[in-house]
Amino acid sequence: MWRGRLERTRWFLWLAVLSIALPYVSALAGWVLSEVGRQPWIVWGLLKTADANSPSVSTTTIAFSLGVFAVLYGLLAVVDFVLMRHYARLDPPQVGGEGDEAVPAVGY
Amino acid sequence: MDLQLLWFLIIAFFWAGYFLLEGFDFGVGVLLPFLPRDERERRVMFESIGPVWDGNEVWLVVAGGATFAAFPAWYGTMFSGFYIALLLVLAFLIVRVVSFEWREKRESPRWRATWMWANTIGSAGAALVWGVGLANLVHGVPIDADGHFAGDFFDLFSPYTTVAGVAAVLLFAFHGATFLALKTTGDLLERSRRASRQLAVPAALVTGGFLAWTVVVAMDRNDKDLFPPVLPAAAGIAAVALAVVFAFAGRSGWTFAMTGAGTVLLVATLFTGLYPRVMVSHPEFANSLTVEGASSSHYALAVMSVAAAILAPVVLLYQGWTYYVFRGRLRVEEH
Repeated sequence: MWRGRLERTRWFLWLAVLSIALPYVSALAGWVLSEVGRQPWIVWGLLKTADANSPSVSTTTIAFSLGVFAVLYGLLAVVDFVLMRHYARLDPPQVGGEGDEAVPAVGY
Repeated sequence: MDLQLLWFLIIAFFWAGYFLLEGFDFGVGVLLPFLPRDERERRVMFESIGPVWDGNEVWLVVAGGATFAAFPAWYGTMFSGFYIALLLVLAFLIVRVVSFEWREKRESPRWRATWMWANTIGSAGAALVWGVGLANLVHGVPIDADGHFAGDFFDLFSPYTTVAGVAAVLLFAFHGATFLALKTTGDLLERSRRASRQLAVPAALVTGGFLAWTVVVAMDRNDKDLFPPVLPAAAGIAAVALAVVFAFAGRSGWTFAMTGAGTVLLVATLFTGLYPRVMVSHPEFANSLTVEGASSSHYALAVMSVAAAILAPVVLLYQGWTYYVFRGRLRVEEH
């Protein structure tokens, strides 16, 4: 039906783009499942979550650290997205052309 | 030797390795805004530590992991008590890590300057907090009768612990400048040597002063005698003094050996001053955490000992191999 032209079919390409999110969703869902599933235990049968928290770290401090991580990783995600968009918009390098010699992948 | 003492020594060994290795890559990071004349030289500086900085950081991860597994009570009190300090370290390390990855991704001078400063601030900040943090173990923090930290973030800063942070930054900068003198050529090499000479005296003075002060603090706060903490402290003072001599004699290899010995002996002095406790409590000395009281069960320590005996040599071998592969000097002309 779409033999030979599936990779050029508009709805399929959109589906492919949207499915980029799926591995992230499944990884996160698996993590949430294991975290939620073992409640009220933090170590199954041995230690309750309610008994495992640090008495010397206040709720405010935890909220603050969570805020710091959220802001920091949020900024990093934005920068990462801008970088990926920049590189995605460049023309693909020519295979076998100039600049195709073996170079280490990571440059500092 | 009993397993508790063995694991106390293993954790000290990991911290010493961390200071020895990450010390010079933090030092290179601190020098990034000051040493290079142009973008190519700055790139050489990044590349001098590029293949090794992340392996160096693994020593910190194992130090933390080994503390968690071998001394859970120590881990619990230290990581809860130093919560904000460790949050700061993580923020410093995170921006530093991305600076390595992102700096080269765009050409604009502003972009490059941003990530260079991210690396410099991350390096100096993390070095400072580690100095302050480890010194607090000996200096003592408020701990209650249940072994919980009973102070706040600002309790971590005293004149002694602040000097520890400054000593770490200066010693690492000296160590890093000397490392660059071994890894570069030409003009950059000359400037690395000069930076090493300029940093030598201030780094040696502050580090030497800190080592002597640590012996006093260990006697005052941790009920230690002059021996044995004075031994690693004296050796450390000798090492940094020799580092100054070698730096001015232009012997970069020997200077690096001595700055390296200085970082290792600094950690050795702290842990010698700490034993048989793992965290000193002040003002309630009786609430201090001890090696014996904070450790895991004998069975857990035995299992970990076997695992470490098999895996640690493998890790050390491949990390050594990385250094061997990237042993050459970097030439600015090739960049």
